[in-house]
Amino acid sequence: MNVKALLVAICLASPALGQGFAGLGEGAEGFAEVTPGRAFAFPEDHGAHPAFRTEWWYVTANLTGPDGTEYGAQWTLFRSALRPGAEQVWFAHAAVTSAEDHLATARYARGDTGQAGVTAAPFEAWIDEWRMAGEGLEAVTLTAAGPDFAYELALEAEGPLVL
Amino acid sequence: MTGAPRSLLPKNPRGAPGGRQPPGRGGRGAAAPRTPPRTGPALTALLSHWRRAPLQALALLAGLALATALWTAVQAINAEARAAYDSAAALLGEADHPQLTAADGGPIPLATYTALRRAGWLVSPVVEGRLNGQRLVGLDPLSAPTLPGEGAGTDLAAFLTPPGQIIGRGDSLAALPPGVAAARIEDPSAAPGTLVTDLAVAQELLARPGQLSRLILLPGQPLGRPPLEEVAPGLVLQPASGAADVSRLTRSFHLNLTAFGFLAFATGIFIAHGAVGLAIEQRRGLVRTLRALGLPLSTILRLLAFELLLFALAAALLGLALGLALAALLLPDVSASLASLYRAEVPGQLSLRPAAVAAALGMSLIGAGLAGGSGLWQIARMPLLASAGGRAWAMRAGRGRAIQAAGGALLLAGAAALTRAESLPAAFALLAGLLLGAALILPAVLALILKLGEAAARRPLAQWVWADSRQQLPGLSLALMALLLAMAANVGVSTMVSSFRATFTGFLDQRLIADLYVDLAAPEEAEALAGLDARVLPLLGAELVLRGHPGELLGMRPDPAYREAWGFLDALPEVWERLDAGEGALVNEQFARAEGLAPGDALSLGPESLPILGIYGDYGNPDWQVIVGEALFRRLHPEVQPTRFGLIGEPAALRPVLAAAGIPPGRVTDQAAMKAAALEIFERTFTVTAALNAATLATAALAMLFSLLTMAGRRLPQLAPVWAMGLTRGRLAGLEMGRAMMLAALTALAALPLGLALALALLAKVNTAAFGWALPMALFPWDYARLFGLCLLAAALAALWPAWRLWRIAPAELLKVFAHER
Repeated sequence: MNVKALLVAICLASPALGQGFAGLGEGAEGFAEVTPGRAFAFPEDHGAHPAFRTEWWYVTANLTGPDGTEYGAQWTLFRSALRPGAEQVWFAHAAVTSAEDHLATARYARGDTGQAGVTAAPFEAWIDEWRMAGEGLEAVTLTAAGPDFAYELALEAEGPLVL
Repeated sequence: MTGAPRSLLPKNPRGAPGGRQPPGRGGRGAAAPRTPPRTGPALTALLSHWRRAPLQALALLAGLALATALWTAVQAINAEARAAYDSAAALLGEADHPQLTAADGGPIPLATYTALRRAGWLVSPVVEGRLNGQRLVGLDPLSAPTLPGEGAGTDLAAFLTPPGQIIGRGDSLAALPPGVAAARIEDPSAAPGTLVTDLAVAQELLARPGQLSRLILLPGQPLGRPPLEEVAPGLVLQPASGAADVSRLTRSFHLNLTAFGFLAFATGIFIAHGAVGLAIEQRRGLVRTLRALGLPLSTILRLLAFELLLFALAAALLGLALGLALAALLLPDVSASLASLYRAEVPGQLSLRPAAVAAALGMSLIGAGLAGGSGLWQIARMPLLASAGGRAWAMRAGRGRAIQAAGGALLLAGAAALTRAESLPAAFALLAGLLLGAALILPAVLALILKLGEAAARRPLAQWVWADSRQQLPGLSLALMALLLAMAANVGVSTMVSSFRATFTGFLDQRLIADLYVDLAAPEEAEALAGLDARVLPLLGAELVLRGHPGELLGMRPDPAYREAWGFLDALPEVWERLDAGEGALVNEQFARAEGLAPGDALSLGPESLPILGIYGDYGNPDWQVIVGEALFRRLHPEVQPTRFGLIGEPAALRPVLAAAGIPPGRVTDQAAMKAAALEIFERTFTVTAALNAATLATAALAMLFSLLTMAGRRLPQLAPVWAMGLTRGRLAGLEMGRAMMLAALTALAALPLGLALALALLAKVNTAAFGWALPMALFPWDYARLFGLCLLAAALAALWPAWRLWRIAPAELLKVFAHER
């Protein structure tokens, strides 16, 4: 068994979202289903929803350096439940890009060690030392590090939440 | 005679170099005159020899098969052990990854793990303990560097989801308590004696919620980590053990086995060599006839080589089967030895590896080549009309012997030069040089002794016996070399084992001084021991890193029993008084040797710097060790609460009191029982060696038998004149017996110093290089006398049959020598 292969299979190998994400459509008994017309409540809904099978927190950013060089940054934290409301597996991906380079790294964590998780208020989504955290979502710091890169970004929301 | 003029050789009638015959030529058989026989009938004619001499066929087959079998067995055992170490080391990440452990040797809280991860330290948690005699390892599949059960039917979700999965070999899984809910996944490639499961499952089974044993430091750590002391001050970093500590420790054991495998292979080849030599010798006439009929020499050589190939293939199959059977028989003992000596787990069962089949085939072919090469060479060089030129043969052998002896002397000189080197390969090179050099020099030494004997002899018969023995020497020398090696190995190994045993029993007496040993479930139970009518000795121990090497610190309570039982290799005066007062420390020999420590040197232990008071022998322990007085130990490690105690008192009186205090009898061990268990383990260590040893002596005797048989036919021209002068066949047979035994006795005498040198090299060199401690060597004359007797017995048994055949030989056969001028 290979963790990465399995997780890649979970994340990416889905032929179509309609059939369930990454084969999650099969044997989904007990998990909450996404239904239309649900009313969201914030900040609670910024947090995790363990009744659902999977969800993720995702940031992509276009950045300009002091010298005008353009960079891209990406940060994603996935939650995947093995059973409804029970065993969780977390995995995350972070990358920085420039016109020439692409540096990326990934993390994996189990849910029962406190190594990874998401809290709504104050908001924090974390895995190992990577964090996306702030009082609310108006202003958050975003950190990630790998063997060959590290970033710490201050993000500010300039408009309302979009659903 | 070998230099017979080439013109005597027949020209190929058609001048075709290959001599292949056009189809349709020749009649139904070889009888048609002036027509060379066809290959088929020639092969039948050559093979018919074996029908007439089935015993020879058996000897050739047995020699090759035995050589292959012993080699295969040793290789199979070694391969199995190595595979086991590899799977264990890879699984636990010990070999390739540094580890974090608690400085006090205790458990690591899960919170420490989380804190490390959240500070950017990429570590993987491991909890480890024993469950029903199996090593249960709980790991986190999401962060572990390697995962168990690849392809064995595990999947990550099932592994992580309760009730979870437990992966291991069938026998390990069977040891699990029946109540365990986790699915059992059998994986034959798993490390023996080891069960692997998810962290949470293992914590529950081992009743260690929220506790970890150690953390594996993963490669590819991110930038910007804070130092370890800031995040987890109680943890220490252990470097990767590299290529599995276990395999380094057990290397000498496996080298020993391999050396014996080679020795056995060599003796097997001696047998096969004897058989091939005999078969060639007896078919000289046939070969002469075939060649006279026009069959080209190259065809005959090809046919003989083909015949040898058939034997080699049959022997490979037989040897493989025999070897695997032998390995399966010995493996439980080997694995028990390895487990007890080095804590290395090796499975008790064998699996057939393709490499073993290939090795068996290869060794059998190599063996057949070695055994048959000289025979084929002889046929190739044989003049068409040659007779058995015994004298010429002896002269030729004499020249070869001088070169051989010079080579042997060089090897011995090389071995002598290596006595100062200290590495393990050097120690083994010394052994190889010693054995090989002595074997090569043996024929020259024997020839010298026989020459001296001849010079001293007065009566003609005695002179003839000495001279004839010398003439026989070339044919026997291979067998005698085999006997020398076998005998020397026996002397050497029996000296080593007996020395080891003597030292080890003394060591056990020193170590197991208490009458009863008690294991407590919790330190609090120690109160139950307070009121006993016995002296209580707590066994205080803590793991520590000694100059970068894993080690342990022991605390010793002042007690007269220690003073009586303990001896030192080297110590300062008033060692006990100063130890009890906390004014110094004792170190074991391994540590002292590796670091070049002597009594009086300073040793730093935590905040203290203490003089070394003494050095003690600590046999069989791979780790370094330091002993301090109890008071000092408690000051250095106040957190250590002893749970093991030695009690000095009357066992019969103590047992019921302990039972009444709520300590179950299962946790109380008798000193005598412990000693017996330790000795039993030790005896098993050498069972394998002893078995291989006996095999080499037996094969040496067989080699001698076949050498004597080979020569019996060749020797008739020398014996017939003596018989004709009036010596009876019985007398001649008696002389043959006596000669074989005399040569064996001379060889055995030569083997004695060689064996003792071997033992000295094993004890002082190999042991020191491999384990870090030397063993005092003791001499066991009674054992040597017994071995000498065994050697003579082997020679007598080997000579019995050829002598009997000579005794019963028809006088007409002897007369033929004069009639035919054979």
